[in-house]
Order: sequence, then structure tokens, then C-alpha cells
Amino acid sequence: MNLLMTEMRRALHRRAVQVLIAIAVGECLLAGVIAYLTSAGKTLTELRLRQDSPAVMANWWIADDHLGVLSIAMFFLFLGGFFGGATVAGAEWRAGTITTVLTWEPRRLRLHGARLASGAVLAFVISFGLQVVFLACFVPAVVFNGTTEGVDGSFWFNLGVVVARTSVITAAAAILAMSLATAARNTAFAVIAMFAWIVVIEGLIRTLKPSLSSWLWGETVTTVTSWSRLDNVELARGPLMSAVTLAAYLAVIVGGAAISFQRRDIATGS
Amino acid sequence: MTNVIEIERLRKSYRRRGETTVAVDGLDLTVPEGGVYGFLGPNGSGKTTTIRCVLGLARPTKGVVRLLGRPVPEGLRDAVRRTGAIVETPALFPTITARENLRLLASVDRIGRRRVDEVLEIVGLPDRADDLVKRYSLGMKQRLGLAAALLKDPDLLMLDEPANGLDPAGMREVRQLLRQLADDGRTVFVSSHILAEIESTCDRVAILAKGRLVTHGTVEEVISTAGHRASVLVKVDDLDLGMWALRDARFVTEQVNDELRVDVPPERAAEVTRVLAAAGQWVTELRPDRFSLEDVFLELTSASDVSGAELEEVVV
Repeated sequence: MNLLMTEMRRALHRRAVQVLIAIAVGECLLAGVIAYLTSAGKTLTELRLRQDSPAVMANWWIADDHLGVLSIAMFFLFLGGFFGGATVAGAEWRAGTITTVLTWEPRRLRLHGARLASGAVLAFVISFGLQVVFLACFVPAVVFNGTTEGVDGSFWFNLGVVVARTSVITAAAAILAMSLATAARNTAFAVIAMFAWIVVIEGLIRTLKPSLSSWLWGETVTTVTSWSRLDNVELARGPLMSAVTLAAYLAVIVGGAAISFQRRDIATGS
Repeated sequence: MTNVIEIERLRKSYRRRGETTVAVDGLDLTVPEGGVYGFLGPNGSGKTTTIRCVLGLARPTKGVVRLLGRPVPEGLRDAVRRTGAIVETPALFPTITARENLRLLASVDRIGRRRVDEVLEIVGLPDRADDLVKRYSLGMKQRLGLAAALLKDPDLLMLDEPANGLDPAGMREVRQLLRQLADDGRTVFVSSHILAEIESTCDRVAILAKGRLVTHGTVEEVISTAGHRASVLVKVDDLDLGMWALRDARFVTEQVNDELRVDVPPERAAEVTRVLAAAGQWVTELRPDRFSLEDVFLELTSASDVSGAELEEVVV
């Protein structure tokens, strides 16, 4: 527990993490201002016509459609979680601080586990907090220009579940990035490898072999995030199976990185 | 006397691009408890790799390592609790303050804030403790690394080139600090290629060349392995006149800086003083011309066919 807390403090001391949080909060505020200005002077009928207007609180998350204003934030949160995780792990190697830490805690698997756990907890908490901030920034637009019509207990429950689910996937993105950056011992590899896989390789597979699409990260994450079977994907799987697939992918990469960290020699600046 | 470090037949080799580089080749080394132990060798001789193997940062290809009586890596956790270490340049977070860096490290072992302030005081950084580390000079980073190593109040300090980047005054302070730490009952294991630093600080030394132990023992023992020069060094007011008188008396004499080196065994020094006195030159200083640790180091490492240019520090 002590090591976990220390690793969380170390991660929070990373300038990149602080900058990412500041950028996200700034974007939330900007989104709030834009939502207020674009909803000002419009009638409720006009606002209701657009499903993406955050001035109508019921649009924040529409459970039946598995969509809502919150969907906009999800992609950026996953991206932020991934980039933050890669930076925290990669910077330790670049700066050589991993050597210093290992002269204090030489049990590598324990240290690696604590680092991943701290990254996951932080990513979850930060993601959860940012979603709350993101939605809170729309409150003025709702109060002064929009409506809370259709908001009931089930709305809040569904919203809470999707916020928690998004936070879990952000945490998974952070763990994935930390593992890749640990295995490669730098930040850039994790970012480039993920970009190349998601954009290039998965794009090719989708085009050349559509029957494999349901196994891809993109489809799997989308299914888990929306917690609904995708309509436009061949042999699409349900959310539970997709969640298991995601967990299995993650376990393989985390395990590989842990073995690499345990076995390979450590050198400053390596 | 117990041993704090025991290394038996340590071999560490790396394969890179199909070629095998041997960094440490069958090293046997025993470091007794107490005092300052100097670990010498030219760049690329395997000093840092050995330290890495002892601290569990690198896995030996062959051999056995024990730290504070515990096998490495199995018993490392217990041993590391009592060991403070700097490996190469101290690596700490550049974007936070020195004090915060130390507090972060201290929290790993639940060490209190008072100890952080104490070590900052010991290494002479209390006034700059709240500066960002990225604003520190290399010398200040070395001091901070030393502070980090001291946080645990360790029984054993392993310091890899602790004087790197320090100015002469800083080196002197570090020397005094190492001596003081050893006098307090700790064992200080220090690797260096700055021989003056070692000779004046260490009780025992080991010299490494090409990954092998060339010699070890007390500083006196190591120096004595090179034997004695059959000459004395003399200081007189007028060096030219002194040299003329000695040569006239058939002593082979040469000027070395502000002294005269006379090729005569130290036990015949009286003959030198007599000749100089007869010439009106009063001796102000006379001492045997001994080998220095540097002489021994250069002789032993060059005998091992090691040249600094040929060998590069092996980076894992």
C-alpha cells in the first residue's frame, strides 16, 4: 500500500500528467462556454431537435441509443489515459529514475505491479473527475437556456454507470500504455506502436478481412464503452464477450511487459 | 571481520549484434566491513557493471554475489534496506525540488521528513533544497544523490564515481564526508578513476582491468607491490648548485619540479646531505621517492594491455 501511494505521488509529480489534466479542464470549460453560447436564445423545441445539445440534460447520456454528449469526451479520455500512462512509464526510463527506485525496492514485479496499479487508480480517478467537470460545465446552459426534462433516477443511474465504465477503460488504456512503454523502455514506442496498430493495421484488417473486425481493439472498445452489440460489424460480439476479449488482450501485454521488466538488465538511460 | 560484499567468479557478458562483449570476467572480490574501500579501474574496466550486478540491476552471466551476507537477487530486499547507492549519475525527477525528490524516495521506506532535512544538511544543500533539480549543476546533483543514498542511514554505501562533476573544493568535502561516514562505523564502497581521491581517502583498494581483478589490499600493500624506487627527493635553495654538487660527487641526479631526484637508496641519504652541506646547500626537505597509487594503477592496468581508448564503458 505504501509503495502504491508512493508511485501515485511520483506519477502525479510528472509534468506531463499535470499538463494533460490542465488541458482537459481547459477544454471542459471551453465546451461549457460554447454550449452556453450556442444554446442561448434558442427555444426548447429547437434544442430538443438536436440530440447533441448539452443544454438538454437528458442528452448527456441517452441509454436507449448508447450515445450522448458524454461520448465526445470518451475518445479524448482514452487518448489522455494512454498518453499519460506512456509518459509516466517512459519518462522513468529516459531520466534513469527507474535505477534509483530499484535501489530502494529491488523486487521488480512488486514495483511493476505497484506502478501499474497506481497508474490505473489515477487514470480511473482523473477520468471520473474530468467527466464530472465536463458535465458540470454544461449546467449553466441547462439552467439558463435548456431543460432537465426527462431526467429521473434511471437517467442518473445510467449516467453513473457509463461514467464508471469510461473510467475503467481509461484505466485500461493507461495500463496498456505503461506496459508497452516499460517493455520498450520509452514513451515514443508505446504511442507510435498503438497508433500504427489502431490506424494502419486494424484499418487494413477491417478492409481486407471484415470477418475479423469483431476481434479488433477499435470494435471491442466501442462495444464495451457503449455496452451494446455493434450493428455494422460482421459477427459482432456482445459487450460481455468484448470486455473479456479486452481483458485478455490486456493480460497478455501486461504479462509480457512484466516478464521483460523482471528479466532484463537495467541501465541508466537505456 | 564480516564481509559486506562477496563476489565469486562473477562473469557478465552481453550479446549485441551477434558479438559478445565481456564486461566482467571471473571477478573474485571480498569487501570487509568498515572503512572506505576503493574500487579502481579505467573506463570500461567493468566497475559499474560489477556494481549493477551487486545491486541486482544486472543479472550475472555466471558467478555468485552476496550483499551484506544475503544472496543476490534472492535476499536483495533485506540487503538493500541497509544499503545506500548511487549508480552512475544520480537520477532524480528534474521538475521537482530536491527536498520533494528526497521525500518521495523516503516514503518508499517510510522514512520521516526530519531525516530528509538531516541529509540535506549533511551534504551541504539546505539552502538550495527547494530549488528544482533541473537547475542544479552536476556537482549539486552528485551531492543530492549522496543525500538520497544516506537517507536510509545505511550500513553500506555504494557510490559509483561520486566525485564526478565536483570542483576541487567539492571533491575535498566529499572525501571528508566519506571518511567521516566510515569513521562512524559504516562501510563505504566507492568506485573511481580519480586516484588522488582514492589514495587519500581509502583504507583498502581493488584495481580492476579488463573485467578482472589485478590487485587488492590496503593502499600501502598495493603500493608496495610495485616495489620501492632506489632514489630520494631533496629540496635545497639553489637547485642548480645542488645538482652540480651531487653530480660532481657522482650521484645520478635530475630536477623534478622544485626538487632534485637523486638515484640513491634512502638508507644512504646521509651521503647526499653531506655532499650538499659541503657545497653550502642546506637541505630543507628530504624524503624517499615512493611510488604513488597512480603509478601502480598505470603500471598494472597498462600491463593488462588495457587502454582507455580501446575500451568503452559497456552500457547495458
